[in-house]
Amino acid sequence: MSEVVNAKFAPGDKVRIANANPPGHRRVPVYARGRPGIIERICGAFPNPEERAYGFDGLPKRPLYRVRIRQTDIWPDYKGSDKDVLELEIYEHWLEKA
Amino acid sequence: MRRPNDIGGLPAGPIGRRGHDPEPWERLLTAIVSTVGPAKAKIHCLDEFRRAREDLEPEFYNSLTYFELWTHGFINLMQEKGVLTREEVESRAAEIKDRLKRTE
Amino acid sequence: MTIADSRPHDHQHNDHGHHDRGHNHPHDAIEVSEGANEYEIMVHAIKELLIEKGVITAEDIRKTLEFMDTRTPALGAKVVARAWTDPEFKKRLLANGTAAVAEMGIPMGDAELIIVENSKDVHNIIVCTLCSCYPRTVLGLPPDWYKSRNYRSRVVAEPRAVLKEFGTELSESVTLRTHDSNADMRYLVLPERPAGTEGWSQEQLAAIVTRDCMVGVAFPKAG
Repeated sequence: MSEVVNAKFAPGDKVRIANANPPGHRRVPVYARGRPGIIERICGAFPNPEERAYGFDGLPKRPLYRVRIRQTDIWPDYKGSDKDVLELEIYEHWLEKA
Repeated sequence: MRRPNDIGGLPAGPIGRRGHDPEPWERLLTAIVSTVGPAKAKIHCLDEFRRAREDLEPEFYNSLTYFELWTHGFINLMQEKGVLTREEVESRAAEIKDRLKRTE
Repeated sequence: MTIADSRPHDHQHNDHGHHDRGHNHPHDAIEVSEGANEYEIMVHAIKELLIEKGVITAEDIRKTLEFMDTRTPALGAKVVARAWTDPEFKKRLLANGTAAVAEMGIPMGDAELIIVENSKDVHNIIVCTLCSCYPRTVLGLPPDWYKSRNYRSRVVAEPRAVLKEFGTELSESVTLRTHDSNADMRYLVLPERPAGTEGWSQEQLAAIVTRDCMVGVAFPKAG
């Protein structure tokens, strides 16, 4: 995995996943939209699947991050430890600094 | 907007543990999709195939089992790509049914 | 050590007239079975049309099936057993899963592999809520329950209840990390090596690492 040039975020950064509701193929589950999290790692840069899904090449590649969210920040009546987390992969264009 | 596959967190029932080993036709379908796509012919990519499944009408989508979903998504995608039509598939399926009857 | 062996078999493939699945050589052409349902027939129709139109060949399909057959949880178990016995390999595995399994002859293809490590304080569980992404290259085909609506819906929201259904109760002191494999990464859980396996060979260790352990719904057992 090569270094990602011009990645906007770094591990440990506090971010928020956009509360966007666009049509079409997206890989951000509804349960994760609008949630606060922290960057767990930069996964690398990949072509955008939202574009690839419709036959485009998805270039230029975009940085993909693993975002760690506290379960209690997602589910109002989460049953488990307060320290439990949910981690998923979010492209840079879905993230803003929190 | 929640597409029919975006189900994380929705209420659901117990997880059935009794599964099945894939039927030969399910393995064949898996191999066909992979071969037409990323593994060989590169007619489509994985994202397109996912999208084609998600594009199925929600009521229809929810009535299908896993490999039935794959079958319909794949036919639609291949039709979109101009590779074959649903009519051709249905017509050939009818022929195959006849072939099977004749060998009984 | 090369895991994938792609040499062709040096015996003949005849299309059998009978459909006894028990005797099917795995690399024979898959035939329509008696009492085939409409989906099985549709899939064969699709296959015939694609071959006739020159999109793919029967040989292409056979090669894909052959490769699929080599992908089983035994591969993942070998990776885990090596990590348990080789601390330097384990470090490399946790830093870059894709590169580490490539050392063992396992090619990830377009996906990247991330290894998540269990410990006495942390437990990991994997899902793909949006479809059924799964580290097929090290685990083979996913089981029905992993692909099921109920698992995919519930494990992100109530993972401890799901684990309990699988017979595992986590203490409150253990942090549960649930990973939704929603983009280009694939995940393998590195379970904790159980007590009672001191001095075991890698083969002995691999034998107790089940697929369910590597998805995060079970623990390997020494006894």
